[in-house]
Amino acid sequence: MITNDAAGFDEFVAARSAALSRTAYLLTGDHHLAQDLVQAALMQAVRHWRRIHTSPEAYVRRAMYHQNISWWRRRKLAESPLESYDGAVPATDTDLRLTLDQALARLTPKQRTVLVLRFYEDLTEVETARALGLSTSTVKSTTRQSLARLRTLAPELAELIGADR
Amino acid sequence: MSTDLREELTALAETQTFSPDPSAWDRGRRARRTSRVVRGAAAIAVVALVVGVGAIATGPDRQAPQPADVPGGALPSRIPPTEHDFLTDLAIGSASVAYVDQDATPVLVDAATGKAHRTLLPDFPTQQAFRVAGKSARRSWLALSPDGRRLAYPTVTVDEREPGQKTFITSWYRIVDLTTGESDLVEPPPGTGTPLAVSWTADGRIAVDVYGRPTSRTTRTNPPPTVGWTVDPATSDAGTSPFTGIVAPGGGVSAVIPDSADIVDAVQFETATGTDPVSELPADRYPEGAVVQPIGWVEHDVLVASIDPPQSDVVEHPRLVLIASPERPGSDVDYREFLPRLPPALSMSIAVDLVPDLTGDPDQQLTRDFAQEQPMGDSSGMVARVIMSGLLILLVGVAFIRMMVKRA
Repeated sequence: MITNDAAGFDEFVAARSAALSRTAYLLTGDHHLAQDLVQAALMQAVRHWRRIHTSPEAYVRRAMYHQNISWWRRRKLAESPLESYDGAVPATDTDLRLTLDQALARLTPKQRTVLVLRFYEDLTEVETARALGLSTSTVKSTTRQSLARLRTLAPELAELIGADR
Repeated sequence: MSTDLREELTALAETQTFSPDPSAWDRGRRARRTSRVVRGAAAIAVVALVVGVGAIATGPDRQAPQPADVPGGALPSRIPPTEHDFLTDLAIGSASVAYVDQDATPVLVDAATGKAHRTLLPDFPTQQAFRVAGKSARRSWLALSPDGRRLAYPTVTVDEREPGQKTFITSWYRIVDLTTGESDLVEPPPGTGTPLAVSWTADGRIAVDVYGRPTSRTTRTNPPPTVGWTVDPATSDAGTSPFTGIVAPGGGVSAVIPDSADIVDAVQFETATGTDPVSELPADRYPEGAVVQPIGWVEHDVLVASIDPPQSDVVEHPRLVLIASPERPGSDVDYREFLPRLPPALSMSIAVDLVPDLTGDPDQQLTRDFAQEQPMGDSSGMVARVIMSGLLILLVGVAFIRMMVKRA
């Protein structure tokens, strides 16, 4: 039984870890943190592997979403607030992708997580709300706030994320 | 907008590489064992083992789907892209969804498989007919019966008697039986023209909204009044209806079908008492209103409608929602969304009987995820598991008795 579980887990990791780590990077904005986040979620999955009756991937992803926000709350205690929190990112680098990366890093984990689920994972508002344990209206308002903040932080992204309404 | 952002996010995510830890399983299981030792006492562990074995024996499969169990099929959780080939044999049994895509091609979603098929329907209105109708008014011309086994549509053609003066001609309605693949022609109600909308009543008649006799000079902004008729598809017997739109089972209330695709902030109803109540869209979900198209009644006081909010930062495709009638205020099902990402459609219809009986549970599964479904485990596997579980319980029991004997 254990051998079968281990083989099943290894198979799952081999098949899905690359996709999971890509999501983890978008959630954390840091390559090393992304590695840690995936490992932590996988460890959690191993501990409860036999009780995961639905999709293991859904379980691991949900663990990542919640773990990331939990980590951020702990890290926040040791960090000082940004001086120009909503100021525009200096346009020293013209690479749009890098600008997006930097701007995403300045969103709250909740805002960032909602954006990743909505626009990268392609979940609907209802699915996002269910995954994060939020209401649909919270997801909708958080999405609006996140996109508005991206526009403020990086005006050069306006074309990418659309004009403000 | 969202497509560009999605592409950039995807490209950003591609910069991440990952090397799985090969010892993750061992470390995880070790951590689990450690925590169990810390927490566990021997007696509790024995109880947990027995309970755990019982759970394994009776628990669901890891991949087991959680379908909406309704005889005759299910609504899909998402409408998939259409299959490559056109469906020519219409005897598919039943459909869960029937819609007209933006090319004016009718599409049927098989209720048993969840697959979407572009379909060749005899005498179906042409693309030109939909294009001409789209300029002035909205036409719901494809109607799926509540049980999903029959289709109804008008055989609309466009005639141009004088240059620039296009008119519709509807000589017949056609009824397609999806269980046999056969179709019949039904006469339109006497003196009526091309319908604005076609639907089915709960007792198996076709309901049509048509323009009635004008009471004043007709213009584009002052069309004739809309009147409702019902037609027996077996005999072509027709009668006027006290309502327009989609009438609820029991006939006490009707959901009005808008004659244009305008954004509204409330759904309009008609009742037998002559009042015209409305159900206001929840402002927190649809702050800018939405285009609403009633589709059918799943219960005598619960309507299914498609809702399409205007484009915004959180733009999405239209979705299906449940809407309680004004006679059921404060309902727990009101404005519950259950089939998101409807494809862009000129006309949308569903088999409302395939919506399960509503329990009031917000997590109740109303659709089936056909894409995620795996073949169900065979019964022999279940029997083997039960036998294994029984043996395990027997072994634990024997070990317990031996321990007690030794102690004695």
